[in-house]
Amino acid sequence: MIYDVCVVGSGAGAGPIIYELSKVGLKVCVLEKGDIYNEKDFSKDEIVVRRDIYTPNLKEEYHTVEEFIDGSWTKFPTYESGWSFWNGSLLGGSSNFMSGYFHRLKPNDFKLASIYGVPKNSNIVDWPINYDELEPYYTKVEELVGVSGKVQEYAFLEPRSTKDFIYPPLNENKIVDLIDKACKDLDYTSIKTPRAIISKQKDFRNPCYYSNYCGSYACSSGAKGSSRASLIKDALLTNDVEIIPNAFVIKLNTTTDKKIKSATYLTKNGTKKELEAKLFVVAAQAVETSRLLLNSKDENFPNGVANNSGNVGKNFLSSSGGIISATFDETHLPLKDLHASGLFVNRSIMDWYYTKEFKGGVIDVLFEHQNPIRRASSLRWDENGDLRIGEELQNAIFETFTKTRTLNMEIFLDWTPNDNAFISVDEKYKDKYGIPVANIRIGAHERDLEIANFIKEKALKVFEKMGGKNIVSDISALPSSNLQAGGCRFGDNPKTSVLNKYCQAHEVSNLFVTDGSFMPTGGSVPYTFTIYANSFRVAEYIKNNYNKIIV
Amino acid sequence: MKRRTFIKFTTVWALLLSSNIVIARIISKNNLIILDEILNIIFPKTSTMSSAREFKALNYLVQNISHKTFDDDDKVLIVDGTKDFIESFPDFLNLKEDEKKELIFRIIKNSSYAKSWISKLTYYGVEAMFSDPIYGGNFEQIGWNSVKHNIGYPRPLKTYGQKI
Repeated sequence: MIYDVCVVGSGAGAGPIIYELSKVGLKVCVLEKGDIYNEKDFSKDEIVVRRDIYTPNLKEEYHTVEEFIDGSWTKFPTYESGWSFWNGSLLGGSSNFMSGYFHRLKPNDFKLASIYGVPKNSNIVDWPINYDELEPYYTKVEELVGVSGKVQEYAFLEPRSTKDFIYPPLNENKIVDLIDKACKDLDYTSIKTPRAIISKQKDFRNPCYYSNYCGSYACSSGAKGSSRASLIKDALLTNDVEIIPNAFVIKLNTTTDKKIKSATYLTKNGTKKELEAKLFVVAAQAVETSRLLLNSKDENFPNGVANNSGNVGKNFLSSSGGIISATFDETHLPLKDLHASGLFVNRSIMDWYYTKEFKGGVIDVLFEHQNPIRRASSLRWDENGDLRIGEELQNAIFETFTKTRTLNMEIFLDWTPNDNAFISVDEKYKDKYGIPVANIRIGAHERDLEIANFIKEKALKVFEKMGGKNIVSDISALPSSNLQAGGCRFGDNPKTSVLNKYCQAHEVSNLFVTDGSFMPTGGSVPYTFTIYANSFRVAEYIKNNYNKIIV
Repeated sequence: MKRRTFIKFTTVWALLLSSNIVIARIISKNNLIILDEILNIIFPKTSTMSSAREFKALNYLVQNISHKTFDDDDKVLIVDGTKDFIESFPDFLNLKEDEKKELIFRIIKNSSYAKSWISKLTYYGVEAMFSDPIYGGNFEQIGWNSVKHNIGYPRPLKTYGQKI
């Protein structure tokens, strides 16, 4: 059988494609590396979070991370460090586990080079589209995927075509009163964080039930806007979608007229299979998408498919920033309120999203995730790095768990694209199937750390004003492995970009890439909202031009 | 044999009989007795917290150490560390309770290998304390209850994310 559309992956970049194209009667086949799970399969089991259950075993399937050590770039396999760049191999991908902080990009994010210029040693470029072109699709995501919140005025609020979110804000812990007061005293503006978690029923999806274990856990009610719960389940009702689980796509095969003819994939037991389609959409998350394209070498594309320009893998993006934490106790709030189960914090501070001199960032405030194993195990080390056991350990666990709660401020900044942040493959490093693994060079631009420290100083004042105790900051230029973008940037020039403005490969007319790979710059917010919106935009283009594209 | 020691042996035998043969092969009966003692030194009963024996730390370790997701390096460190400890301190079980405790506290100060081994046991002891009772530890939710932890719902019906 030759499908109309083959989609590689099923996360946020894939869901809108599957949803929109199946609704117009195209036969869509989804090749998903992991298995199919449903709400009933998910529970709040910390052991599952701490083991390789929804991600490959790193000893079998790993990446290499390339760091600048002692004057040279050195590759370290992730099975040595445990630093996994897999984020969810299952239907819906990592969108199942996201915290769902859904901030839109702002108009100037689409033209950073024009607004701020291009810093030395950076590859910042303007996007080939503007905010107005993406705005209708942000609105669509707010409705279909479901975003809860309340639009509040602040200095850099982006223009909206709707007045407010359809879903009202989630219930909040009383600690937000302290945050809001501190911000007011400091003349900061705290706003309610929009979340991809629905607060009221939507068709077969139940609203948030305040499970108390949210971020990094899959949702048992369907309230969290994973592409599985919010889009793919609905698309399956068309009977025009076939999902092949446990299908690891290892190569895209081209014809002499430089089109993709088929995808080669491995089944769970390693059997090689091939699937034909007229149009291919790759959305395997940025690192794996570049890996697939780079590994798809043949006589038409000796450097990997769509890579005769040599641009695939370049300008990898993540998020710079870091985290600041402080503890609170009954001197701040009655313990019953502080420990109230399941309630959200949902506060963001965006006062320095832009400054006059440089692009700034965002502060999102949230409670430390519940995860008692992670929290208690960290207490086995004292301040001097000595092992804490016996009565001292037991008392530390009791005191920490029963008398305090930790609040975190996460700082999100633009990752400045540069020549030392890219994805490549290396024949020396192969997975258990013999396929070269992705190498991630993680060189950060020097200004990222400077801006992170600028935002940190602003953030610290909030915790100080609140009277937070044990304030600790961990600011770093290292990437967040769950925030991946770039590698196949879109642009008008085929010599400097992989994709055109519709995320269609310049060199391969029936190939589209719709995960975060297309982004030339990432904004100062988590990528998922923009990935969803852009994927809806691309789906619209494919829908309207399908017959022309597949000629 | 003193009655107290005999009781410990019977507990361990019951644990072995209820476990699979692979586990019995990688952790011998004698090693289990040692591990039980050491886990109880790491997690003693206090006025607020339950002991390793109460939350069944050893049971948790035995039930889970052979699972495919249990880190191979951790498994080797736990098993080899226990063997090496017994070789170094063959009379450990004959020491008085205070002497046992003093010995464990001393070796983690003086040996980085011992520190790594005990640290790993401490980590998996914490897993036993706070994982869902379905895994064999946190007996009757005693770990969660001791710190008044608000758990997440739903709790797992099957281990290791197996589909329902």
